[in-house]
Amino acid sequence: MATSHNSSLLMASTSSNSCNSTITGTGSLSGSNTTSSPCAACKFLRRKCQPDCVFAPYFPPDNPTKFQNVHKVFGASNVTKLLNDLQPYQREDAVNSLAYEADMRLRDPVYGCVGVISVLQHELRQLQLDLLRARAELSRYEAAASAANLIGNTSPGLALHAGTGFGHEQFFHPQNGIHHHAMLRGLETGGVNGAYNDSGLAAAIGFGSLASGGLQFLKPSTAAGGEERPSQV
Amino acid sequence: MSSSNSVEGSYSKRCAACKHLRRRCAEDCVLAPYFPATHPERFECVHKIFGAGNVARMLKTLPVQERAQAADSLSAEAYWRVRDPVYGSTGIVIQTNQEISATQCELAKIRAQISMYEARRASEQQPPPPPAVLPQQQGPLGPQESMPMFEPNDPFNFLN
Repeated sequence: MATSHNSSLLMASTSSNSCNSTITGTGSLSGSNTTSSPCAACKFLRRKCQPDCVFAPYFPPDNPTKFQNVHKVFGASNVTKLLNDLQPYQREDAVNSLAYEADMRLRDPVYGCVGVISVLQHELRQLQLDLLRARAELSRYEAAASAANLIGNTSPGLALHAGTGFGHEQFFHPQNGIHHHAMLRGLETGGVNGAYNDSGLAAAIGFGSLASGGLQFLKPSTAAGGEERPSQV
Repeated sequence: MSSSNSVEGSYSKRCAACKHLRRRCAEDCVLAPYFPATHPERFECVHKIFGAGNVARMLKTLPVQERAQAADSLSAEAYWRVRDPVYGSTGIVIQTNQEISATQCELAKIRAQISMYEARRASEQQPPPPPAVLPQQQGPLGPQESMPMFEPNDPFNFLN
């Protein structure tokens, strides 16, 4: 299930505990005498910050940029709907991820977060190629060492180098356990029915052309940049 | 009748966005090239997450030649957000970063193993060092007379 443990991995905002959204002044509803400013969302929207304001825990007044970016990209009403569909313990991570995506979109209006994923996927592919080459090289060394040991064992008169302790079993064998664990953690934090299955990853990988991603969507060649409309029924 | 036919004709040529929003699709509709009526789910995702107004505004701010890519990336982000309302495409960033870290760790370990093999091979190929030649030692009788060397096969040599 999704937890808040991944919030540290995001470009997170400050903790939700820092904001007190009680309102004072005209007919204070709460028994508290504390005067606190409205949350960043209500301040931006120029409205009263209610005690049950859905934004208040996640958009403290000391970070107005966070809400401004989210509002500019997603819109306050859409964010409200998104948050209302989530459990309270999921909302902080959701807000932080929305803030991150909004920030990426404003930095790169064309590709946004997808551009970041493309770069990371490219880096991952390069590393995997390097890993394949390294494994092949290691296999050659291991084969040569095994052959040398075999010769040494069958011809005791020869100079032996077998006692060097480079036994096959002493080396760490690249296991896939770590890789799968990382993916499972990612799936767990995905939180919804194992969101990151292969089609999701294929969607990320296939974004060089932005034509697939496991989705039957419009291909860029048919989107003629607005100059002409495709034939429609 | 012809006007109603033309109106119906224009309505039937509405893009997915204008169909969903139940409005007339203008000739210069900014969303039409990227959200055709043949793929209504694409616009529904985008509208649910970003809102039609935000999408249209974002596309309008871009040069025409970049709008297709932008529409595709917005569609992808909306799709991922619908699938994972908590993390959306950020979850993929996190996951990919984790995979990169794991791969780097694995690669470092294998390279360390290769280095050990290379070091071993290098040490095997080096010629053995020559035996150390000890300098002639001075005995208590001075440099000219040194103690006779003990030779086990000639135990009486020292008498000579």
